[in-house]
Amino acid sequence: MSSLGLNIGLKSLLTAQAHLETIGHNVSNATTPGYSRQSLQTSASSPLRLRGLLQGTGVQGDVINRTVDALLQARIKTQVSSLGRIDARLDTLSNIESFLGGASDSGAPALLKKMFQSFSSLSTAPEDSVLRTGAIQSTVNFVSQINSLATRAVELEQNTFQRLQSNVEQVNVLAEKIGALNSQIANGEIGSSTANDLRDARDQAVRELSQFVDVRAVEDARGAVRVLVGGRILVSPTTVESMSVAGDPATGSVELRISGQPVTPSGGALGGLLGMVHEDLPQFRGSVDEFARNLILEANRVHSTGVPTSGSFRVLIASNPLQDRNRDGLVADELLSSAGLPFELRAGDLYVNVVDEASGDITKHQLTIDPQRTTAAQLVSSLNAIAHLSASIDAQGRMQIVADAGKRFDFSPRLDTRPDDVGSFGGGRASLGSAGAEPFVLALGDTLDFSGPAGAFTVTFGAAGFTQIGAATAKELAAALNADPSFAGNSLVASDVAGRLVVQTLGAGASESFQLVGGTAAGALGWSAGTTVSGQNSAVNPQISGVYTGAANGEFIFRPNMDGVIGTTPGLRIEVFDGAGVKLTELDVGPGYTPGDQLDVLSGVRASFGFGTVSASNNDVFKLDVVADSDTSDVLVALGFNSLLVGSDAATLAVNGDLVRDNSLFAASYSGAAGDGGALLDLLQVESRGFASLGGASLDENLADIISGVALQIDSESGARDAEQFLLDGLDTRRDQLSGVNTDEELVRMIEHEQAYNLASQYLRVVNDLMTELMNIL
Amino acid sequence: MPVRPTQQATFAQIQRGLEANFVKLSRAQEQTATGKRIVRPSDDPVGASLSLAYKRQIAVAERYRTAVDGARVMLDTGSSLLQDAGGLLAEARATLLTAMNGTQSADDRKLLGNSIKLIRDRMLELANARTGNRYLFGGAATSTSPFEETTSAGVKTVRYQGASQSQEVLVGLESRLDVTLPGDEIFSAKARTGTSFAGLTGVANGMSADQGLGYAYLTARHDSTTALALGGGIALAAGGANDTILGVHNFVVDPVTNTARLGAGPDVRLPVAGSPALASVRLTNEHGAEVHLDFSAWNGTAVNGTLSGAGSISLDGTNFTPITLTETDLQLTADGGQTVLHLDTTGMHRAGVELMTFSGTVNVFDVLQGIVDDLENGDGISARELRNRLDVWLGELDRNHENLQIATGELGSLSSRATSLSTSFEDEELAVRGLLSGVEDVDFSQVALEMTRAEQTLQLAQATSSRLLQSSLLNFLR
Repeated sequence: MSSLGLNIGLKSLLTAQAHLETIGHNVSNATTPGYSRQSLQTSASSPLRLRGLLQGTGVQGDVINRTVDALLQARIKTQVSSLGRIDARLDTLSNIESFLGGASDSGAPALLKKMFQSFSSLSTAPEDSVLRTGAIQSTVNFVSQINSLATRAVELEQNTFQRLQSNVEQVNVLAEKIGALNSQIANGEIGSSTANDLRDARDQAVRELSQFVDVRAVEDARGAVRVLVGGRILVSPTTVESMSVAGDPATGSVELRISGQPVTPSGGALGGLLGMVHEDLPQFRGSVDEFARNLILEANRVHSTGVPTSGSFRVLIASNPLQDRNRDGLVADELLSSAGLPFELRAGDLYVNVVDEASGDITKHQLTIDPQRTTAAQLVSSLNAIAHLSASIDAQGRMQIVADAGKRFDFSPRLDTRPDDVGSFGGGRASLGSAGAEPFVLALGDTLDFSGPAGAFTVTFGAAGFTQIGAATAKELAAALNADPSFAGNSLVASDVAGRLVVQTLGAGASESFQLVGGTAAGALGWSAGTTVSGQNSAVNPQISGVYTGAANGEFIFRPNMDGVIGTTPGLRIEVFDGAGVKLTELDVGPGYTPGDQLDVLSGVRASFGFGTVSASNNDVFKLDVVADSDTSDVLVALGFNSLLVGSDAATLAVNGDLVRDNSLFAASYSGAAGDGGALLDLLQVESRGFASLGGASLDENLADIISGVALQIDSESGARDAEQFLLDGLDTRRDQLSGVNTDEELVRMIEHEQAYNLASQYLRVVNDLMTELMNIL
Repeated sequence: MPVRPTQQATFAQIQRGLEANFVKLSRAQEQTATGKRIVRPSDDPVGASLSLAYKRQIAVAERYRTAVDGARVMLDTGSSLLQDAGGLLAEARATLLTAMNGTQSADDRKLLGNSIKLIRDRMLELANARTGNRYLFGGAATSTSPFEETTSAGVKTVRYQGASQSQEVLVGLESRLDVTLPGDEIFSAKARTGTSFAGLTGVANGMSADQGLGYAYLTARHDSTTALALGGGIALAAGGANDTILGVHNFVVDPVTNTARLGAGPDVRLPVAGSPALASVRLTNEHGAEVHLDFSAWNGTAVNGTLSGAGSISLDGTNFTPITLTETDLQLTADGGQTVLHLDTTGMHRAGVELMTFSGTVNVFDVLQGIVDDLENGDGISARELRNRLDVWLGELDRNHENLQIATGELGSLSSRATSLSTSFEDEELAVRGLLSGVEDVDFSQVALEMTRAEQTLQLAQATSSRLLQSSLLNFLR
């Protein structure tokens, strides 16, 4: 009996002590992060059968529990991952925003404005060398700003890669820690005890790990936690894997691996950084590159067709080399579409003007280019075919064009002021033109009989020189005629004017004449046998002035409606046709017209005709090329002829070195006049005109969109971050409310258990007294 | 779940509250320090993109304004120079009218010619005027002098060698403003109204059209005189070498009055018989055509005879084409075919130097030069012929004056368009700057208010949190 009483007292004392120790542990760890309050679970000891009664045997301590909600922990973990991800993204985005410098006066938009401002100042006095230097300098400034954007973007990618590496190291350290804790907990929980503090430490480690990468932590029956990242095991009850980073940030092919196997986490700092490296940073770089490309393309489209202040070119070398894509050691056989040129060509035309230095006369030549069919060698040979020009490809693959002495060339759309090069329209020479345009239906062996100053002769057309004699072109016929010795011997010359064959005497004047006697080919050319043609002393010399304001390239073909004398014959009109033979307008050159006066033709083109005789029966004709865009194929831009900007993306963007060295090469005009800023005005419009390739936005809008895009992203991510932080704070508060230590509560319980201890000691004294009483009786 | 506060939660909450307040305060301070509501684009992305758009608009308006202001300098200078030119032409006209007055002597006319020469030189200076280093009246060719003086066939002419297009500046996305007018539009009328002759020799327009610019002197030369019917012992003096008649002329000798008359000319009293002057008596007709007859062998009878003169004509003074006086469409060319003239010679009656103008194409300098040349009377022309020529010049001068006034008006309207554009761009810039400021700039009174509020909140938070932190059961347990 007494031993039971003592035992009860002893157990009560010990239990109270254990309570107090637990309370003391709680109070000491009130500020420890991740600590969950512990409490001793007690229960009444099993009763004994004593003296016919089921006697209670006091209190016993069962287990020390910690108050923790596993689901809440899991939710906190998820929240920490989200926050970690957003934080990593925000950091990188803020970095981008700071070097974009959108709001500052030295950022890219401000420098773009300054560049076009300097162009505008130049347009008030295009011949001023100081203003030109200013224009080129501000272009250089803007270009270097874009270059530095590209460099910083690359640096940022490198930086992000390094952060990935350091974060992965942290992950590995934490994984090791969790693994160690796993084995310690497994060892420590033998029996029915719980290793509360170790579990708290492990929960804290898992929470820290979640900040870096989103994990799934699953506890197994033996108390060990299995940590999975993206489906792969990082920590197992027995092993710890290691994570690594592989790849090259420059190519965007960065990959996370766990023990060699690729894994893609979507949350945590790693998830955020990976997303940046895979998507956001390349997208940003892509949009800056796109902006730079469009700037180069559009600025060069205008500049390449302009004429520099120092005049048209004697030599021009391309800035972009052709590349030997099929590796046969030659660049010349590459198709223009696959020669490694930075810009794409389109099927279209190129107009080249050859200018005579002394007289200022220009002759326009039209080349047709189809990038899918034309090779570089074919382009070179068609440039070579232009009189007074020679083209070649140098050892580095760059094409170059050289003009003969006394000649220059350019690509401007200006009008040819003297389009009647051979004098086939009321010229001094005796001139007979074919009635219609090519193709001419001839047969092998067809002849033309002429009678010239040296007598009568016949020219026979053989197969040589004709691709298909049934569809002979004027050029082929002219070449065949000019090659005939008796033709040249009679001082006759043949040429191709607007697709018509024109036969003329070499000399001019009223005494020159020849006769078409007949021939089987005469009918196909619309000539009647026995036609005599004579020259005249006063040539009509049609002259063109004005600027073509039409939207499309084309040609105007001028033909008289009857035989007559300019300014004298009633009813004499000059009819104007387009290349397809549709009549566009007619000009009255009858008695009301004063020879030499200018008449409005169409779209800003004016023509004047001098005094002379024109003949419709001899098929007088001349052609005027009207050009709105002299390079619809973009071949000048692709090859880099007469460019303002060189390069193909933001990092390689630069101002053409030739212009920096010699600013008089800046092509401000279309006509070559010192004060003409026509090309410059078109260049000014490049900034604010909408382009289809940018979705209708202009270049400055595009740049502003890039900046606003980043700003909007930051703003929305900031808002999301605030929301996530708020949620995390709420969850943390709930966790604290559940598992945290309230010192007042602990103090109260301490008093409670102190009193219990007092009561127990009182009880023991009473039991001792009883025993002493008993002992006294004995 | 009942609320169960713990120390840690409370501390964390207090900390967060204080931090948030401090952030607000420091943000307000940042705004005041920079004066901008939007320091980084992410502070207000919508506002930032608006402010970028406004800044673009301002830059564009400023750019157009500076271009227009640059153009204004040229236009205003040009306009005032042209007004000066108009004044000079008016002065020249008055001088010309004085010279046409019949009471002037040759010396008086020479003086007047001198003053017109000065006016011409001054006009040429004006036409080649510059502002800065740019020539004003050369169109787009602003680096080379637009009007150049040359001498051809002894006649001083001025040629326009500038551009026919004018320089433009951009004043809107698709609109351009001319900065100059090409000089040839200002200083030479271009509307050809036909070919006109001063009327000395009787040559007229042919049937075909003519081509050419400016004016030239046609030289009709007398080659030989044929006596178709002389009588009474009268012979040609010096074989007709000094005559200037062309075509068939009638002459009458009247022994009663002792006079001879050519055509409808004045009666010339014959010198007395035996006088040596009889060897060469000069008869002139109503147009001034001369014939010299030798009366030394005259038998004193009345004679009614006819004479015929043959000649040739030249446009450039060196190549002479013989005329039959029956051509209605004689073609003369010069300047390598640039000038083509068709003449009707049937009405020609005397040789001489004929002033031919392509009416409406003579530029103002050449008109003035022509006046000077004629006033100095280098060709030895008669007073009446001089009068005729000066009439022609007057017509051309008036045409040029009108043209100049039209050009002055055009420049003036370009100038006023430039001024109004400049003002409207300035206004636009101002308005958009106001909008930009509204979006971008900080409202100082609002920020000051926010700062005070944040400060107060911070202090309150600090006070209440310290009270909360201090309360604990420990204070009451002994």
